[in-house]
This record gives sequence, C-alpha cells and structure tokens, in this order.
Amino acid sequence: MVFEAGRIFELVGWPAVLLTAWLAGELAHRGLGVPRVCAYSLAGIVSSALNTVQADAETTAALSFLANFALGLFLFELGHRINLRWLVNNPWLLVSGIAESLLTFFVVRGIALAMGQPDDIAMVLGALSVATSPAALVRVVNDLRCSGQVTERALHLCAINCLISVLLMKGAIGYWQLLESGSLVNALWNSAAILAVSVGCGILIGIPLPWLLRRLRADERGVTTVFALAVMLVTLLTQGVNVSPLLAALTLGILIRRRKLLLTPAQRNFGVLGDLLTVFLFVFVAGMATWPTTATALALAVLMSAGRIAAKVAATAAFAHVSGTSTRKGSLTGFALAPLSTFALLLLEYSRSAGFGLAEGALSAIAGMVIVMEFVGPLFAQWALMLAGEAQHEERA
Amino acid sequence: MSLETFHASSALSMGVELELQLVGEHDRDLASAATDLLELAQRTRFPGDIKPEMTDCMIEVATDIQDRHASLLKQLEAMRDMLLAASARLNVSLCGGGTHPFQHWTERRIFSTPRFQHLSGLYGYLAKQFTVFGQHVHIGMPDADSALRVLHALNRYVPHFIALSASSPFSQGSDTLFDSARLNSVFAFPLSGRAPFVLDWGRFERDYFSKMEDTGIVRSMKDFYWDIRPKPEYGTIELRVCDTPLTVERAAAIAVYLQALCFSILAGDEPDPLEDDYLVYTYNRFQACRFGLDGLMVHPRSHAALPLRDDIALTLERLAPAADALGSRAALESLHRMVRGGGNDATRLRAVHARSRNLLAVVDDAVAAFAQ
Repeated sequence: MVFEAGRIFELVGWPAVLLTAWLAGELAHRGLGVPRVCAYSLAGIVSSALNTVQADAETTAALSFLANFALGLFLFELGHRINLRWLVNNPWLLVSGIAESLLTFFVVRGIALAMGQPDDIAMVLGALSVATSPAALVRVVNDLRCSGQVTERALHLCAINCLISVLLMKGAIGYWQLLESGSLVNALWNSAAILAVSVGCGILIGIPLPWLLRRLRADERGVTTVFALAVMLVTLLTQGVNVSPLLAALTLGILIRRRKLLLTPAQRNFGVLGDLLTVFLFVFVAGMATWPTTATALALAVLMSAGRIAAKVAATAAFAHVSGTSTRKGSLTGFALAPLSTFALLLLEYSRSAGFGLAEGALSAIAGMVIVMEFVGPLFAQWALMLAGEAQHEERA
Repeated sequence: MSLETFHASSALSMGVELELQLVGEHDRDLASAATDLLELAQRTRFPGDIKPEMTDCMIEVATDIQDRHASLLKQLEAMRDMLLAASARLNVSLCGGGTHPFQHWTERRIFSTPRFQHLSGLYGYLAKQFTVFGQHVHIGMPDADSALRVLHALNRYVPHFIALSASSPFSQGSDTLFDSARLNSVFAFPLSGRAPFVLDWGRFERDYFSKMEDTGIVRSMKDFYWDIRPKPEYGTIELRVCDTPLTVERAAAIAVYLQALCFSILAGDEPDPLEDDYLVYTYNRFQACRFGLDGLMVHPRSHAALPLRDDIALTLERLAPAADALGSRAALESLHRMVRGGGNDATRLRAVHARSRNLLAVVDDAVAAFAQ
C-alpha cells in the first residue's frame, strides 16, 4: 500500500505540469501571438530539466503508448486531408515532395559529415530531418483555421516527407543490420516487412470501419469517437507486433477519406480529447530532448536546422511554378514545413527499443536540433501561413 | 460621376455571368482559393472573363457577347472545362448552387481589393453574409427607352426566373424551407428591390438618378442592387435574381428564356407595363423564393392565382415561335421538361439530403453536377 501511494504521488506531477503547459500555451497564443505548441514544448523541457516527474519503466511504457496514440490522431487527421488524386492530377507536386525530401536528406547528412559525425549517424540524422512534424503543422493549421494553397501543399508534402523519412530510416536501420549481420536479405526483409505490416494494420481497420459507420448512421460526435478508438486500436496492434503505429494511422486516415467519411469542421483536432492529448504529447516529447552541452554540438544543431530549412525552401520554390503556384507561395510552403521533433524522437525511441544500436548516438546528436526546431519550427510555419494570407484573422468588434 | 450614356447594343445579344463556389476537397467547406485559381487561369488565355468576388472563396466568370444558344453554351462549357482543369491542379472543387449548405459566414474573408474592402466597411456583416452565388444575364437593347420598357414589362416574369434557377435550399447548416434562400441575403441591402417606374430614359436620368446622386447615396448604376437594372455602358438590361444553377446547361437555358421573352416584348406581343403591376410583385417574388415551382403567383392584371409551374409552362409554349427564330427551341424544351417533370435544382439537392442525411453529400452532388 505504501508503495502504491508513493507511486501515485510520483505521478501527481503530471497533471500539474500539463496544466502549467496549457496555461503557458494560452498566454503565448493570446499575448504574444506565438503558437501554443511552442509553449507546451517549453514546459516539457523545463519540467524535464527540473526533474518534476519521475516514472518507472512500466509508467514510461504506458506514457509512450499515450504519446503514440496522440501522434496517431494527428497522423490520422493528416491522412484524412490527403487527396491521392491530387498527386495524380498534379504530378509536379509529388515530384516537388520527393525532391524536397531527398535534398533535405543530403544537405543535413552533408552538414553532419562535415561536422565530424560518423557516416552511419549522419545518415540517421539526414533521414530524421526529412520529416515535418505532422502534430505541429496540423495544430498550427487548425489553430489559425488556415485555408489555401500553402496550407494544402504543406500538409501533402508533410505526408510525403514523413513517409520518405520512415523509408530512409528503415533503410538506415537495414544498412546497419547489414553491417551487423552481413545478411542483405535479412536487412531488406526487415524494412519491407515493417512497412507492409504497418500499412496492413491500417487497411485491416480502415476497410470495415466505414461500412460499420454507414450501417450505424452515426452522427458526427459518434463518428469522431469511433475514429479515435480506431486509432487507438491500430496503435496497440502495431506496437504489439513491433511495427510503425504512425504509418498505420496515416494509412487509416487516407482510407477513411477515400470512403468519403469526413471529419466535420467542428470535430477538427478531435475536439477536447485532441486538445488534451496535444498538451501531453508536446510536453512528453520535449522532455525527451536534452540541451547540447558543447559549443560544437550547438553549432551542429544550428547548422543542421538552417540547412534543413534552406533545403526545403529551395526545393519547394524551384518546383512552385510548374506545380501551379507562385514562387512566393512555393517558398512559404517550404517554411511551413519547418516543424520537426515529435516524429523524429518517437521514431528514434522506437528504434532504440527495437535494438537499433545507433539510436543512442543519433539521439544525442539530434537533441540540439530538436530543441532549436521545437520553437523555431512552429513559429516559421505560423509566419509562413500568415504571410500567405491563409490564416483567419480574428476580427474584434 | 453622372449617369453614363446608354450605348445601344445589338438587340437581344446575351452575356452571362456566373458566380461559382470554391470548395475544399477534404471537408467540402468553402475554400479560400480565389487568388490561386485566378493566377493559374490567367497563365493561359482564359476563354472569357474571370474575376474575384466579394469573399475569397468565390469567383465570377463572364461570357463574351453571344447571339445564339449554341455559341453561348459552347463558351460556358469551355470556361467550365478550363476552370475544372485549373482547380484540379490546386486541390479545390468548383460548383454552382446559390448558397453553400453549411459554411459559416463568420469564417469568410473579404477579397482584398479597395472596392470590396470599402463595401465590407459600409455593410459590416452583410458583406460576409453576401457569400452567395448568383447568375446574372445581360440582354442587349436597341435603345435606352426600350431598355426601360422591357425592364418593367419583365416584372411579372421575375418569379419565373427565381423558381427555375433556385438552387439554395440550405444555408448555414439548415434547410431554410426556401428554394432560393440566397435572395434573402440580397434583400437585406438598402438599395435592393426594383427599379422606379419610369419608362423614359431622359426622365429616369433627370428625375431619379440625378436626385439620388445629389443625396450622396449612389455614384453609379453599380450601387443599385435591383432585381433587374439597366446597364448603360453595355447597352443592356441585367437580370440579377437567378441563383447560379448546378449546371452550365441550365444557366444557358435560363439565359435564352430571358432572350425569348425580351424578343416577344420588343416585338410588341406583351401588354405595356403599368405601375400597378408592381402591387403583386414582392408577394409573387416571395412565393417563388419560398416554394419554387410550387409557388402560387397572382397575375398582375387578372388577379387570378395560378401555380408558377403552370404559368411558366404556358409562357414557354407561347414563346415557341420566338425560340425558333432565335435558335433556342431545344433549350426551352429542356426547361419545359424540368417544369413538368423532376423540378429545379433545389428539389434535386433536397432529395440528395433526404437520402444521405448529410450536407457533405449535398456538396458532393453539386460538384459532380457541375463537372458533368
């Protein structure tokens, strides 16, 4: 009993930290015009530095699941906004997404190599830098109620670069396994199997669900509840078989959309549930990052961040005209892709638990970039969307 | 700025303007895509005119001057196809319909031109509520006096055009029980309604327009939002009561119906207009907005009440010779079939909603209809 009570007291810190984070978010948004998620991350970093919340392995596993679930909701919502037909109607958009991802990979990897990182770690850093954080982007888009080309393009490119990031990351793991085990078949099999099983889990839920919802004639709140439970189910399923819950949630969102079951505007962000989990996700993930301790590590963080954004902006600007928009909006799309963090860290965390020996080294090298981008990324995204004139101005009487 | 000189134009020539909805692919809500679509459409030669409207989820397209149904429809189809191709590259959909079924007017953004910003400042929330989509039809008039005579003689047919084009049963997420809810947004404007009963252009300018101009309320004809207004710079009269139909075919058919009526009036086949005709005007207009083709209209002269459906059918039959002369027989027959058969676009959209219980499906249907 004494042990149980002690454990409960250990966890009491959580709601207090989350409440503080939420308050900070409101102050940041209303007072300073800064995205709420920046304040959530700040609260996470501060609380982790102060060691406010301690958790044993079992609690950490539970919290990890919750974070994956929260991120799954964002990926589901992102998938739900993805129109695959657009990529067919406008193939240049797909080309610009692939170019943007590959350029980011090579630029960041180049910077890491030039700064003296080993080749395999540089490869992991490059792969992780490709992904735009769906959580931060979707949250900024929803907070500002954005609508327009920069918004649409940023969301689609975000889905593309997340997918490519996962593939590159799996490639890096495969490459590492190849070095470790010497078996190419084993390495390829591992990457392909993870991809296929993740997507398969999404399909497994995504096909019967729309049928069920139509039969039930569920109202919009009912539909949202079922979607949230479906995301929870794929998160559990994929974690159970040790594949990517995030790809599965993305697949689920895309499938639901193709079945024309739509989240209505009132249910964006999954309502109050989404709000609560967003605060948790950003606080939890930011708590995993650590400050760069040396000047070299700080320089690496700043240079990789700058290179990453420059690569994204250069590629999206270059393909803007052929893909049907102005170079200005193309560049702004690149800036809107700036947020990084949650995806990369969870991916690494997951890889570490999967026995990926490089994760430890990569985690410490990327930590600085995560800290920089936690704040700069959402700010850039907000700034780009506002400059594009796509944010709703809150008009006051 | 005084009233412009009335430039006589080729009698019975036509021009059609359509205000179209830009709809998001992922949620079917209105999408702020006007600037992007305009930019893309203007990269190549657009087969007509294209310009922004009051809020940034609307665009307006206009045909050149056309004389015949076939050429009018051909141009409308060419504009539609070009817009569909451009919008597909931008991940937005296009559709007709007088209102968007569930958009929230508070979320609309005024298009950033000085005129729209001025109107927004003047009219406040009315400007955002004005995110409604209409079809305007211009018919060329041989001279200014004829324009005024035709304008007033058309008064008894205004309900026909409302009922035929009605495609706005839903607004702000609810069934309004109106077939054309759009016109209720238009009536809120202080200078809406009907033109003053003057049949002589000189008197219109001297006794009405100049006096209004002196009050400082208006500066040009553009400031009047009348159901039908003369457009001196084009030498036309402009009918403004129609909702944008769901298809360009119907838009063209409605335009040539007006052309045939004007033909008949100019030929002297209609009685001369009287001021007392307007006694029943607003009542008949309400019936058409509320009940569409099932409305009851009171004849301005006989004071007999008869279903709009029957009055339209009889008028279409009477206009058959005019339609033959103008090459629009087939188009008028399509309207006749609609009046006697399935009903207007509002009926169609309500049927979709009754089947699906879902307003997103209503927008889907409108998008599919426009692309047909």
